[in-house]
Amino acid sequence: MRRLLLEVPAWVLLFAMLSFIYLPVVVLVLFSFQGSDLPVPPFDGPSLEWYRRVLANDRLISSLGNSLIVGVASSAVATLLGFLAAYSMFRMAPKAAGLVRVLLIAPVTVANLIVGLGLLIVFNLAGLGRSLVAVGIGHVVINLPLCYAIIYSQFGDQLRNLDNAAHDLGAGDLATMSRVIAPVLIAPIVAAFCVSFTLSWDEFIIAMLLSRFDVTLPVMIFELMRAGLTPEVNAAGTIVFAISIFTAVIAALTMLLKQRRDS
Amino acid sequence: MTNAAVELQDISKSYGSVAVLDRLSLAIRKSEYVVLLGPSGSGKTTLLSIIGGFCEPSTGRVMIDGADVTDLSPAHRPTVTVFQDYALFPHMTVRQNTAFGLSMRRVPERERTAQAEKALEIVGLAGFGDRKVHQISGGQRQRVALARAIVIKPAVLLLDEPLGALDVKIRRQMQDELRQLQRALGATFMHVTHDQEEAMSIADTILLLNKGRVEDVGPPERIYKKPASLFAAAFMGEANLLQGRISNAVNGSVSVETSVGRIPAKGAGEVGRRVHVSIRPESIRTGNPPDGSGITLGKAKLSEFVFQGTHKRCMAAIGEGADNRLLLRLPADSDLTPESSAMLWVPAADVTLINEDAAQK
Repeated sequence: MRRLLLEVPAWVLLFAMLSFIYLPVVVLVLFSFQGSDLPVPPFDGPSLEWYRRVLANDRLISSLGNSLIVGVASSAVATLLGFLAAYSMFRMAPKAAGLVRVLLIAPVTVANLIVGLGLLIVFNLAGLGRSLVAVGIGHVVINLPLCYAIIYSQFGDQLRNLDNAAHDLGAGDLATMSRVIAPVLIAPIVAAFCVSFTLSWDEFIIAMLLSRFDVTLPVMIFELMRAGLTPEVNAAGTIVFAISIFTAVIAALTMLLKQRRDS
Repeated sequence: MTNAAVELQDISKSYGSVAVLDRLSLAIRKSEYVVLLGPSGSGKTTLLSIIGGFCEPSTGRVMIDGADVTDLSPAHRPTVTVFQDYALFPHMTVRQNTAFGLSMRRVPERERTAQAEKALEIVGLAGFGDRKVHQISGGQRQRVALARAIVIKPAVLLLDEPLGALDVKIRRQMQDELRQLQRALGATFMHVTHDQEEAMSIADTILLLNKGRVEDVGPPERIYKKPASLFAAAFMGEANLLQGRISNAVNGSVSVETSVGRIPAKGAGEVGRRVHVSIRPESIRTGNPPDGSGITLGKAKLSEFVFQGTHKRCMAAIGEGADNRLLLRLPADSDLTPESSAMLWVPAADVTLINEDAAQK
C-alpha cells in the first residue's frame, strides 16, 4: 500500500513530463492531417490535402533539396574534419594536446546566433556574401566539435596498438587512417555523421542569417508561417521531423550493432 | 661488434623523475633467441618498445645490423613487433591481416596472396585465410600475428609477452613452435616475459632485468646454475642463499663462513667481505660424498615433505636456528621420511659465490 502511494505520483509525474515533451510534436503531426484550413481543434481529418500541397509547392521542395545538400555536405565535411582532429589528438602527446582539445570543444558553448553573426561579418568582409555554401560552412562550424567528441570518445588502448601495428608494418599515416583506423571506427563515424545531419537539418538561426535566395527548409517554413498559419506548415514540419527521426534511428542502430558485434 | 643484430649503447629512459631503464648497454648476436626476463616494472617492455621504435630513449643509441636506428620510425626499422593483444585488424580477414605489410610495400596482389598463404602455412594456419579475426581462437590469433610479422622478413622479431593470454597447454606448445620458427627463419627473436620457466625453455640467451638494470645475461643453464647476483639466484627458481663472510682466499677459491659451516667456493674476494653462497635445492644430496668431489654440509633433520611428482620438496635443519634451514629436492623415490635425519653434501661445482651483501639491495 505504501509502495503504491509512492509509485502513483511517480507515474503521474513521468506521464506529465513525457506529455510536456511529446505533446507539441503529436499536435503538430496530428494537424498536418487536418481537413480544414486551420491547424486548430476540432480535428476534422484525416486528409492528405496539405501533403499534396507541400509536394506541389516548388519553393518548398527546392528548399527541402537545399537542406538535404547542406546537411549531407556539411556533415561529411564536419565528420571528416572531426575524425582527423580526433586522430591527431590521439597521436599527439597528452600534454601538448590539452589546450588544442579545449579549443576544439569550446565552440559548443558559443550560441548559434553568435556563430552566424560572426560568419556573416567575415563573409561580407571577404566579399563572399550570403549563400548556401555559407550556411554549410556555418553548420560545419557548429557540428565539428560534436563530430570530434563522438569519434574521439572511441579511441582507446586497443586502437593504440592497432595504430602502432599498422605503422610498424610499414603503413604511413594516411594508409593507417584509411585502411585501419577509419574502418575500425566506422560505427562512431556513421553516428557522428547522422547526429551532425539531424542538427544541420533543422538548424534555423545560421541558415536564416547566411542564406539569401536559396534557403533551407526551416527558413522556408518560417516564411510560410509569416504568410499565415495553415496545416501546410504542419505537413512540412512533419516531414522535417520524420527525416530527423529516421537519421537518429540510423545513428542509434549503428552504435547498437557495433556494441553487439563487440560483445 | 659487427656481428651484433641489436646493439644498445647506454640506453636510459625516464618518465619525469622515475628511471625505467638505467644506462643499459648490451649486444645481441644474430639469429639468437633472446628472452627479456624480469618482474613487472623491470623495464623489459619499455626496452622492447625502444628497440621497436615506439618509445624514444632518454639517452643512448640503438643499433640494428650495424646501423643507427635511434631516430627511425618503426616502419623504417628492420624490426616487427608482435603485440601482447596481437593487434590484429578486426575488419580484415586472416589473409588480409597477413598480407597487410606486403600491401604497404606495394607487392603485387598475386604475389602478396601467395606469400601470405605461405606464411600462414608456416604457422600452421593453412586454409584459414578467409576467416575473420573474431572467428578464430586466441591461439590461432597469436599465429596470425606471427604470420603477419614474419611475412615481411624482419631481421629482428620483437614479441611482447606473446604467450601471456594463452592457457598453459597451448602456451607450452607455442613455446616449442616459436623456437622452431626462429630456427627455421634464422632471424633474431626478442621475447619479453615475466615467466622464468618460459624463458628457460625457449631462450638461447636470457637477459634478466630488474629495476631498469641488467642483473644477468647468458645462457639459461649458466644463469640458473651460476647466477651473477642475488636477484638472479632468487628469480630463476628456488635457491638456498646463505649469507657469510670470506675467511680465506687463495688463487681463485674462497672459503665462506656461513651459518651451516665453512663452504668453499670458486671466486675471488678479500678476506672479511660479506658475501652470499647460492645452492640450488636439487644440488643438495643425502649420504656421504664420494671422495674429494663434494662438500659436506652436515647432519640435518628433515621436515615439511611435499610430494611434487618429479621430486619431494622438504626442509632440512642443520643444528638449531632459523638461518640453518635449507630447501631440498629429494628424488621422488627417496625413502627418507619426515623427522628422519640425513647427512647432506653438495658437489663443489654446484656452489656459487655471489659477491653481494643483502644490505646492498
